[in-house]
Amino acid sequence: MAKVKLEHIKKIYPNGFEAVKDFSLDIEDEEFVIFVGPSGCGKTTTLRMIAGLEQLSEGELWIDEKRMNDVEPRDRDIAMVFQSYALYPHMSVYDNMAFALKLKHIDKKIIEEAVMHAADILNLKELLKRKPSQLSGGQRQRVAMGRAIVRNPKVFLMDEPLSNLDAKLRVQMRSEIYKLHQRLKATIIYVTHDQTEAMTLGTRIVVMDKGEIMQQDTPMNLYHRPQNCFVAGFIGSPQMNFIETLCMIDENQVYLMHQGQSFEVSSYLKEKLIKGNYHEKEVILGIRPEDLKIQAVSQNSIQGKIIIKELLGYETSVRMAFYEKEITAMVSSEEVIHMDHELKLYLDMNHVHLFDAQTKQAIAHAVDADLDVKGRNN
Amino acid sequence: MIQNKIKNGFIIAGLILLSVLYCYPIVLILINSFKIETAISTSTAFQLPTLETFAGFANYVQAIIANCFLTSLFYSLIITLTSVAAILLFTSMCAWFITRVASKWNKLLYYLFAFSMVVPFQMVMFTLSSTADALNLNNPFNIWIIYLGFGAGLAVFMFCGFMRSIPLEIEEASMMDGCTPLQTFFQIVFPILKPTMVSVGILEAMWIWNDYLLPTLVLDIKVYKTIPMLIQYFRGSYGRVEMGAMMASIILSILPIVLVYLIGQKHIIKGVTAGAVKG
Amino acid sequence: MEKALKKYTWVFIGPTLLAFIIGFILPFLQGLYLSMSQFTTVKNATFVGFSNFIRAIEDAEFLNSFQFTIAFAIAAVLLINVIAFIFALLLTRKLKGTNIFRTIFFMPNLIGGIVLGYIWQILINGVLALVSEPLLALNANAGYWGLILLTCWQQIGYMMIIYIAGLSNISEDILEAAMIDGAKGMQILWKVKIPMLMSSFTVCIFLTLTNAFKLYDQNLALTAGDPNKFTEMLALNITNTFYSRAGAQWKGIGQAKAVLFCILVVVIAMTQLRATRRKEVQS
Repeated sequence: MAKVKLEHIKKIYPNGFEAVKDFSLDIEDEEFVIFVGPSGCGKTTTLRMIAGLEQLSEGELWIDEKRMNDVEPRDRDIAMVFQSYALYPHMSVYDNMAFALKLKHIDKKIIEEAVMHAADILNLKELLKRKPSQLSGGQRQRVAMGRAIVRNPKVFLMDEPLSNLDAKLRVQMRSEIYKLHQRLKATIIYVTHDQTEAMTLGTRIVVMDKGEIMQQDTPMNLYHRPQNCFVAGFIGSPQMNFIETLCMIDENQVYLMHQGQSFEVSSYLKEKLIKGNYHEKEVILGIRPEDLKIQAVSQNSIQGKIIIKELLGYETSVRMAFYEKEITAMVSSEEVIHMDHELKLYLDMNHVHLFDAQTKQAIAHAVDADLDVKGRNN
Repeated sequence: MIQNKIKNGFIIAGLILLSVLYCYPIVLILINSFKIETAISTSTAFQLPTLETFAGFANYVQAIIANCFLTSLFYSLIITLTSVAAILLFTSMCAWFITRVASKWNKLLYYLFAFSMVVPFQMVMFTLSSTADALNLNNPFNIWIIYLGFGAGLAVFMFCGFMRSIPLEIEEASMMDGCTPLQTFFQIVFPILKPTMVSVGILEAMWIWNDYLLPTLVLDIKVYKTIPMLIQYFRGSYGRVEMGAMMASIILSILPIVLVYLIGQKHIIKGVTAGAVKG
Repeated sequence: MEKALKKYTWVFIGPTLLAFIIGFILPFLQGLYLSMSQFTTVKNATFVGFSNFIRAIEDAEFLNSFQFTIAFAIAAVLLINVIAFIFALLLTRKLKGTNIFRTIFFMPNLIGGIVLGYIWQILINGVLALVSEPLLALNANAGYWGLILLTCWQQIGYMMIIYIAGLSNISEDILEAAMIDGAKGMQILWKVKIPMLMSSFTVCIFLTLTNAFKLYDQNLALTAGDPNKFTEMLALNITNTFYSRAGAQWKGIGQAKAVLFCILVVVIAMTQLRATRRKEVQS
């Protein structure tokens, strides 16, 4: 297992398109790193550069202190699981898994042991003689995994390995990949556009957009402390609500105004806004749907007509018109909600996030007040 | 529904009639190939052999011995087999390179191959035969180089069409598994190409087996005669044409094709369709 | 991957490219040059400019073969495609034994042009003798229709196979949707099936058209241009100019004719592809 180091990596295509802009990352041994972002954000390109399938335009790639820029993929000792699995259609499951070792002219007995071991882990023993076309999607996925495991490589690369499976199988395979990581203690770099996959699997998540790293952090921090509007909006489902407000500071009293509605912030946020000199500047107030509550409180609440309600089971997602915006809230399914009725929602100001409207960067997260006072989680 | 059944009955009857008409020209030759020389003429072509005019296999013996049919069969086989093998091997390699490496030169090459499919043979026949003489390609054992050059267009075109539908990821996976480009081609791409190989092979074999003008101009006709050359030679040569041996030769030349066709019918029809749709 | 592959450039394209240069590019370029030369072998060529081309288009036999080829191509392309399409419609009706019919109709396509020509010569001459008409060697009309008949016999099966493939590619859903929308049999054929088959038509018309213009073996074997070069098509005329005419000038003229022929075929093929490709629908 190995460390991977990416230094100021860039990918510029011949037509001038910059797919990856200045990407730097240190990946420790045994880490499970997730690249996540919308399609076209450069996550797969970055992965393919690590694999050696794409040339680096600029920057340096190191695996275990060895510079890899000009090393052929076959000499990098990396295994990759492809989105389409890329199984060799003319070979049996056994031959698919044994192929890499056969190329290295390894002793047949050792190959068989390695394949059997992998087949055992992945429950493939019954299928070894079949051709890929005779397998179901989930089975093919497992063979693709097996092909990587057999090689015992320094690094595993996985390019959206679950995206071709149906929802139920995806959840199942997700937990199997999690267990696999626990068991193999391998360094894994995993690309996905699915934030649930990212949150559940990764020890570290790299959120990308338009070829740039927006934030790299633990799943916990990405959710509670998004560094900018993009990450705040990308992580969490349904999406975080953003309310554009004007910050008014007078005599140590801070209000965030939106269309005549005003929100009063906690003392921790107040301090940050005063320090940042946000008087009469625009501030974006971010609040997650799960932090909006149906409560009879007049302060810090918003009112509007219900446009859509979706029963999800335990919770109901409610969309409400609020001036020209739509605000989404997750409420208990036990609440009685009528379409087209007025609804009043209370903003839990201890969980709001503030962003600079100009730079879209985070100013402060209300949850940090707790940490500052109680010193938790440090 | 009953109306439909009657309609279908008429259609089937019509198709059967057409099938008989379709087979008739060959049957006619087959019948005549069993008649003695004097009983074969334009006025008696449609008569069945009688006791007096039945020749048994005499015409076939004549065709095989006097007309050296087997020698021609051998040359036709050698030329077709070596040429098709060379075309399948080399053009698939070439097509893979062209589809996987995007460059201006490769694009140009691809268009040149496509262009060569349209160009009529008369455009190059004279210069080609003199080139063949100069390079010692004028015998059945080397002529495959010319067929490779002239048949490359269709083959490259069809292979390229199919290769674009093979997911690149399979080849990338093999590269990561430790293959050199040559190993990737021969261990991964080549086996996947098998169905297209069959299509290309059949189309090229049909062309080369039946080709007349190119071998006539390139080979020395006194020494080497392929089957089409043999038939044209005996027909066109001065003196009386031995009609009986001629008929037998025609049947003998069709026989291997029909046999191969009946055995590999499914592949041939599939291959032809794939070739046409890709082209 | 491209980078690794590029190291093997000559391994992969070398053999094909070399053969392509020997078998096509070199002869083609040399042919272009020789069309402007007088020569009897490749080595003794002297440059004469465009005079070969002028002599070529002044050659009455060449013009006649041009007209004959056009007349042949129009009839052959129309007949082959219409009949092949009707056959394809009949054979996709889920009748019994369609496979056998398909096998039989396709078979003549495998037989070479020379052999085909003789088979039909024997058959047609037999029929002509039966109805006391002049034989092929003296009967220009019979030669024309004989060539068309022979080409139809040979190519209908091939084109039929392509149309069948096209027809069976049309999804049942679309036909059912059309039926639910109230379309009747003929309307489905004209409004749904034929527009969706445009790519099959492109391919078939392209193949039949280029085949018709390049036809040589069948022409040589069936009529050899008789009577009096009336049924001589372009390819045969050019080959004869090269190899059957005495006089040092004829090879150069033949090559000039070949260049004109080549331009004609390429232009016709390109025009046809462009014209029908535009009518194709993507599904």
